Order: sequence, then C-alpha cells, then structure tokens
Amino acid sequence: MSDYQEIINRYKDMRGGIIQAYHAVQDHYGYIPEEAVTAAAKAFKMPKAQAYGVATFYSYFKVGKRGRNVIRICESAPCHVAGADELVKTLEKELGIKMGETTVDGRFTLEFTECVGQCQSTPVITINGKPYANVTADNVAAILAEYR
Amino acid sequence: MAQEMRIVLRNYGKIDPLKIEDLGSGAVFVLDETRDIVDVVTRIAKFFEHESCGKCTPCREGTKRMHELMKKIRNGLATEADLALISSLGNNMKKICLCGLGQAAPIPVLTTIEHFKNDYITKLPA
Repeated sequence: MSDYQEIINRYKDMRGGIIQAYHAVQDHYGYIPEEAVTAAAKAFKMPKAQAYGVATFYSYFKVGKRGRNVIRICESAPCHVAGADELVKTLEKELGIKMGETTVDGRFTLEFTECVGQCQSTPVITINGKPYANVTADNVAAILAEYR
Repeated sequence: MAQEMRIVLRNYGKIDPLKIEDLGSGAVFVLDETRDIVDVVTRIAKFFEHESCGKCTPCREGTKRMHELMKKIRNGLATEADLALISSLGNNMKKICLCGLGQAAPIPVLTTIEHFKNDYITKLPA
C-alpha cells in the first residue's frame, strides 16, 4: 500500500476527515500528490471533483510536486508598499526560477501568500512556515544560505 | 495632492466609530502622500478576490471584476464610465453579498473614490 493510502485510511471514518488527511499527507510529502486526491475521493466517498475542490480551496494545501523548502512572499498591501515587488525580482534572480516554480534540484519553490501578520516589519517572507521580517535585496541571500 | 482622509484618533487606541470601516477591518494603515493610493487599493482588491470563498455570486464575481476594474484604472486605461461602474458594483456588493467579507470588500474602493477622487481622475487618459 502506498504511503498516502495508509495515511488517508487513518482518517476515513472521521466526519470531515478529508482535511486532516490532506494535512497529514502534506506533512509527509511536502505537498499533496495528484493520486492522493483520487484516493481521498474514494476513501471519503465523494466525487473526485469535490475532493479536488477541498484540496485546492485552501492556500496552505498544494496539489502537485514542489520543492523541499517553500518560500512564500507576502504581497498584501503593507508588504506591497514596502517593496515586495523588488523582493520578488531578487528572489527570482537568486534562484533562477519564476514565481510558482521549483528549482531543478528540488530545493526551493517560490509562492505568493497573503498577509502573515508581521506587518510591523515589512516586507515579510516565510520559509517552510517560519517568518522572516524586514527582508531586503541585501539580506535575502544570507537567509537562503541557511537552507542551501 | 491627495486629500486627507478623516480618521480621527480621539483617545489612545480608540478610533472614530464612523470611520473605522474605511479601509475594511479597523486596521490602521498609514501612508504618506508619495504613495499611489490607486495602486494600494488595487492590491487590496486583489486580496479580496483571493479571499472570496466563492459561495455567493456577488462576491465571487464582484471581487474579481472589481480587481479587474482597479487594474484598468491604475494602468491608465479606464474611462469615467468605469468609475461609475465600479461604484455601482461596490454599492451592490455592500447590499447583496452573503457575508461580511463580500460586504466589506468594496469599502476601500468606495471610500477612496469618495476621499481621493482626484487621484482617480488623474489616472484617466487625457
């Protein structure tokens, strides 16, 4: 039995357990494999479209492969006026990928996020859920170095 | 130059209740006159488009069209008719969206059109 099947089975008798199942699957893989959505639809006795709808509605779930380290750049208004656009350009150049893409070595993925609640020191990025504040073109390389 | 937005801090930590909803949630977001208010509101409109759950049509479609219209205005491609359209769309959303998100989504657009009308007018093609 595949890993995701085993994980999903743990939650299949729980009402609304599909969300917990997706969380557990994502904790295991770093994302939700396409086949896990099909398996979840079957386990929770719903059309695949509905299972896919649940998996894609929430910003924190990602269907399909992505890198081991997920960098999310806040683009809400306070980060926007603090120069998030410049940060996007710097990160894209630093990693050689565009927003939404994953590096060839599978190490980094770039994503946008809405406000993460650190507006006192913008612009903000998160790496694997850990927030970094006051990120600029000058200090972003040092932050990335921790994950290389 | 932009007009001043009348948010009055009467006592420490207490905001004029009539103005608390101007930018949506009671959050205070201070911008000086060098900021492009139309650009900032366009970004706020994108936020609401992203946050809409999609259950009711006025919010699902309204936040999307509102963001489209704001981009059109910001990029200097809008007409007077678009300003009237976005105001009408916003006033409808305030009345008919099912929940607070959709009802609040047009407020930054509507109040900045009210208080910073000139910033919008200067974006229209000459």
